[in-house]
Amino acid sequence: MGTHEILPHTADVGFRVRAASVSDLFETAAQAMFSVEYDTSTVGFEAEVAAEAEADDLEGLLVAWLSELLWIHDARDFVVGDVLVVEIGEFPMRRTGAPKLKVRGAARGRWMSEWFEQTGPQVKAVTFHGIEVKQKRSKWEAVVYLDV
Amino acid sequence: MELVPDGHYRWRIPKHGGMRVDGLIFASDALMAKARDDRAVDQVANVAHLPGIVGASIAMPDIHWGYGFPIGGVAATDVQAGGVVSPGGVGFDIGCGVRLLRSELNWEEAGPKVRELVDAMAHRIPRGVGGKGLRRLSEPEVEKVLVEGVSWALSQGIGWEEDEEFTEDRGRHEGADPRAVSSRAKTRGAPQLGSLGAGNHFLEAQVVEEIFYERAANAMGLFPGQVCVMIHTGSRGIGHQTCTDEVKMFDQAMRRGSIELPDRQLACAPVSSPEGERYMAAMAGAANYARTNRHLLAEGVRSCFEAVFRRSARDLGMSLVYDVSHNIAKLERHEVGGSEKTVCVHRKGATRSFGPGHPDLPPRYRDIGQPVLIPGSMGSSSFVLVGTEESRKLAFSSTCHGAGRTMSRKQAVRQKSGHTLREDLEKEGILVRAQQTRLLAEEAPYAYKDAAEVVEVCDRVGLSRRVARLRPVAVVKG
Repeated sequence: MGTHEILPHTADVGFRVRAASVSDLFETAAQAMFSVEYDTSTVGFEAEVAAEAEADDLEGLLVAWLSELLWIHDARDFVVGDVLVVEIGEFPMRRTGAPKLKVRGAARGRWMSEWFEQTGPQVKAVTFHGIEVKQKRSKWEAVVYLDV
Repeated sequence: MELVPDGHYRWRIPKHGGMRVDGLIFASDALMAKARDDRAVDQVANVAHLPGIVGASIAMPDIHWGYGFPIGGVAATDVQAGGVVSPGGVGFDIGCGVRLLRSELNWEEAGPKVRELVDAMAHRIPRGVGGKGLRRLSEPEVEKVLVEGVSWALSQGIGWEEDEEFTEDRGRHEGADPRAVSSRAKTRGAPQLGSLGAGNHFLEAQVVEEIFYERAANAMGLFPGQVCVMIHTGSRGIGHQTCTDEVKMFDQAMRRGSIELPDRQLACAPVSSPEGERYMAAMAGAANYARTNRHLLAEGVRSCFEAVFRRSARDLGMSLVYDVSHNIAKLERHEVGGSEKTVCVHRKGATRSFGPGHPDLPPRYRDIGQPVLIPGSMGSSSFVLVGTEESRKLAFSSTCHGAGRTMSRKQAVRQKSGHTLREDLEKEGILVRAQQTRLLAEEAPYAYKDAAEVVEVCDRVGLSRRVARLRPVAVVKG
């Protein structure tokens, strides 16, 4: 698991994540996103929901991945404690053969049966504003801004 | 970034680099200093890169850093010249806006019952995270709400017939197509109709404290000491999902094309392209959901007043003053370079401000102009304004939308605990019921600009004209 820090923003929330690998980066970013809203360490592991996303580039993939996880939380009422990336990379599209980036994994946590404790604002959406995913020497780093 | 004073309360960012037009910010010196502190000014310049943008990239006095467009941003693009629509220029909360209900009650008679009233509203009004709304919709019903807006609610016997007339676009933004809205978005919309949400959304009982423009106040049925209710919310999950879906599709389309923009969140396409048309149809749907949402919440409020004051809402005179959006893109006719053109006006944290005589206004308001509803920050005064003819030339008939933040949520929460803030407000005579009291300080008045200052600048510049000031007495939040 990598590290994350919150970045200042007047109305919304941004964070920077750092990790040792790109899978780790995608896992850490997901955890960072949910920890804006609640304490992910208190959630536990009762169920697992598959998640996947695809895009043309790595930044787009991170936005799509986080948006997918947010959908699982908001629309399907699943409280995410932990996120696992099973595979991430370039895959040829079945129809055209053109390469696309894909990430596949799972969200672990529990179904929201009742009100759960929020420690921060509700995350409404993931934005492309200021999005960054880059490799610095052997480490990976990303910046994401959320609409809250 | 060069900022040139351009007359009273006006600042220009001269066109440079990839900017197609100048930037134009309406602000006092004090408000301008705050705007310079965060990245809002850069964002005004970034928006000026949008293809087909005409006039200027404009910002209102409540300007602050957003994601792509600044909050308080207005940008009009020439549709026939290939001008674009940018979903980021509308925002995730498509159709977020404000509704104001009046009443015949004055504070003297209502005051002793305010605690009972706030508790009734807190109990009745769904709010907060995971909120299920007052009415669960089937999928066909979601589609009806997207297309018909408020008239769907009326067909279900919800609300008063005349509510439609006093809602922007008569309650129905034309051109909505439910096929343009993803099934994910519709799934999110189904359980949430008639819910407040969280963050800076609220429902407030207010008292009219000051009247600035008597003729307009009379037309709106406002009088000093009167109890009113203001509702601030939007399209909830269906809006967020629609914007997320659309920005992704626009981003993909842009990567295949040749338009280059300084911020990816500004992803756009010509209004008359397939992407542009699809977005306009989806946005219209989400906007209809938002105003129908406020319509249902207003009915919920009416029933609370009925229970507490033991009189019918009709008897209490709880009619709708107006309902207007501040996150939307509208196709409007405006003068550009000497001729009238159809432009796509993006208002992101900015309110339409039609002046007297505009044909879209209800007959009762045609002499005074369109009501503009400005929610203050929590615990501070809200304002009712009217639109002006000057606003047409100055800012494509737009004005501010609220107070605008000055401080991050993290900083705000560090300054005071939610419980302390609630106690402080109660000492000032403002009762607060929040689902998450811990987070209340995120919305504290010290985290926001002063709406009074914002509204005064708009008044002096001529973007809108003050009608009344309302002070809060009971706040319900998520």
